[in-house]
Amino acid sequence: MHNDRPDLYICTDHLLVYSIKHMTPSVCEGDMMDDSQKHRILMVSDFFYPNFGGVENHIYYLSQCLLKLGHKVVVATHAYGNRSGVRYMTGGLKVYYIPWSPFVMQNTLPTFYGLLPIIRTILIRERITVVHGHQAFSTFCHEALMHARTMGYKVVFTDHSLYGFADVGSIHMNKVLQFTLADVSQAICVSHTSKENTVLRSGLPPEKVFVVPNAVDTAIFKPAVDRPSGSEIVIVVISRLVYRKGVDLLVEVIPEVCRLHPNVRFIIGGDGPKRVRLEEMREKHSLQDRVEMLGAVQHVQVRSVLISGHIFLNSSLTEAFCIAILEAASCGLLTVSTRVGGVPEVLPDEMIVLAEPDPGDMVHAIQKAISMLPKIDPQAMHNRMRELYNWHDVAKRTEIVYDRAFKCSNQNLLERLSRYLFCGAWAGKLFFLVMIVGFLLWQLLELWQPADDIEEVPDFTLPCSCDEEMLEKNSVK
Amino acid sequence: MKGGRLWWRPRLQWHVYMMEFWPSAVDNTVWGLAVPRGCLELITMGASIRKMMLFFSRMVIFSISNARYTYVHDQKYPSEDVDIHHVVSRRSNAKYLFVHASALLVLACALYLYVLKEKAISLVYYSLLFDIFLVNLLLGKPVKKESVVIMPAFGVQLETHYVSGKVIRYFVPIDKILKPVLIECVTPVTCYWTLSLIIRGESEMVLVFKNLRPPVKMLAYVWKALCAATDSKEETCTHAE
Repeated sequence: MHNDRPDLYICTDHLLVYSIKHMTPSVCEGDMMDDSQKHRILMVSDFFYPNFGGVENHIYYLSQCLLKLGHKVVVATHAYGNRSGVRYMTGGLKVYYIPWSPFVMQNTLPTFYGLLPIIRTILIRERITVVHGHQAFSTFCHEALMHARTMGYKVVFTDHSLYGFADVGSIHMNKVLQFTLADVSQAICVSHTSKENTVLRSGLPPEKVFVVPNAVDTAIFKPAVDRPSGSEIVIVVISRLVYRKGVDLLVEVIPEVCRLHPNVRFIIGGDGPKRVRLEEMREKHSLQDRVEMLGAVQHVQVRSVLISGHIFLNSSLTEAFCIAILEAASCGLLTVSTRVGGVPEVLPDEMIVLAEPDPGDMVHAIQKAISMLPKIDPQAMHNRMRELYNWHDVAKRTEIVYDRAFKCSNQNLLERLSRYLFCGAWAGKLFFLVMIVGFLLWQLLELWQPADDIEEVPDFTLPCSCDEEMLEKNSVK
Repeated sequence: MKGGRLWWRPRLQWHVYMMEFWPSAVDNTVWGLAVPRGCLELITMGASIRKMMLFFSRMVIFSISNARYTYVHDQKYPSEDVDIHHVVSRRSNAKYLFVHASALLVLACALYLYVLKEKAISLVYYSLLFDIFLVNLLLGKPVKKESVVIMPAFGVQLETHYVSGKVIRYFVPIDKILKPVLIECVTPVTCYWTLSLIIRGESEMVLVFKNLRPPVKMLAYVWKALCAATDSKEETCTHAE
């Protein structure tokens, strides 16, 4: 069966994003003119280091690559334990850990206007031109975007997750997203499926939504010099052991695969509530010697786990974009994954075997992958990944989105308020009222602490000793 | 003597500005004026320079002002080893009037309700208490001036002068100062710069100008003077090791 998957780099009217490789000369000339403009970007989210996850990784790597392109990037997030105040990360990436404590699931307490003074101060003192919010489930992000739009800044939003349409939590989140994105300049999604999801949930016009995929640090995820040899076939699973990651599927699939292929062994990394089910499965089918449970795997250890296997198994029930299979492919592993969300868009056919989220179909897919194994060259796969998914490419495409945001015309308060009214019968009026009060509070802040009183911060420059240190590090690389 | 010819630098400033300003011109001086022609001849004078230095020893050397603060670099004593920096709070008349007008307005409303609407007299008492609370809250503790007295041979003395005339002094010996640093502070509602001294053997830093929070433009001059006094390099490296 031929997989009808959209080409990641296709140029259509709806996408309005051109891959760097497919640019025509005239477009390149335009892009060169745009490149002369340097942006000052504020990344806002509840999720950042020292917490770890896909969103945190995305913000960090994107920021580093934007810094290399010559832009200035500042990250704002809430405090993590004792980590509060201003910190500097690699390359002079400045991070504001604002002392608001996490409320639930690493989100700050949702207050409509609590963050207005501090966000305003940061925007003025850092001379920010673009505010880039990350993750629909970040209350910090929503508040910051709302206040930035009130103050007239260009706003870009990146959505990292898929949400449903039917349950109470999703309905509420979709309404909040509709409110926040009603006035956003541009939006970014990590896959076409995610774009479709976000457009349906928020009511954004599709031409405002760009698709910029995630990427992987191919310098870290390299194949093993020597592939694990022998007649044994090792299948690796690394994910949080929660319902959303399809652990219940694994409980059905693993015994069947072990029965059909005596030379197959499983390595399962990760921890979570569903780990008990996997342990029970091991006990029930006497698979202690063929299914190895590693527990929680730190990110620095992920590569060493991946290169010990031949096949990577992903059983997620929903994914906007699966970074884990990128990392596995970069390490030279053949991937077997459920055909959910944005997963079919991620890898070419020769690198992935897709299956419906059904135990029987997954067993069949694993069998197909085992038959494909002799033809796999890990180094070639790694080189392909390095070309396909590169953070510098992501940064360049994000830069194009920023330039588009700057070309959007500024709108006064009345035009913006009318847009909020269309968000719903009663929600629209509520949003309208929230924005009016926000505007008035901002004007009050202008009286209390005028913008002229907030002194601008000098830009970070590496001292001489650090310059030499950085040069040495770069030469070593 | 530490710093060798360190004492010479403020003297040069004295030469530059003596011909231009008197103490009454403190509020509007701007750093970076060109050297007037007459100063060159003045500098070349020999022994008479010392004589004039003694005569004009109370001359104000340098100052910066903005809407809320005035920074003064003072040479109060004839000794060449004392360096004094002041940050003076300019009383905000607008804020003062606003607070008192609000208080009067609240009191007037209460009196109106009592006299014409025959509300309880306790309303007037409550509004009076609220006025007192409001004035104390918004006008706050009245700090008039904060000073840093740098004595390179001995240490640094931090002074807080209140409107009531009370003065609180804190002395830090020079050998206990590891490094003066300019740090950005973040609170839930704002960001600001502070000048701090890292003290040997203590886990907490000593804040200079703790109450007034002057802008970084003014703090930078004090920071440079403190670095010179403590023989620290003026590094802007912000890497955390």
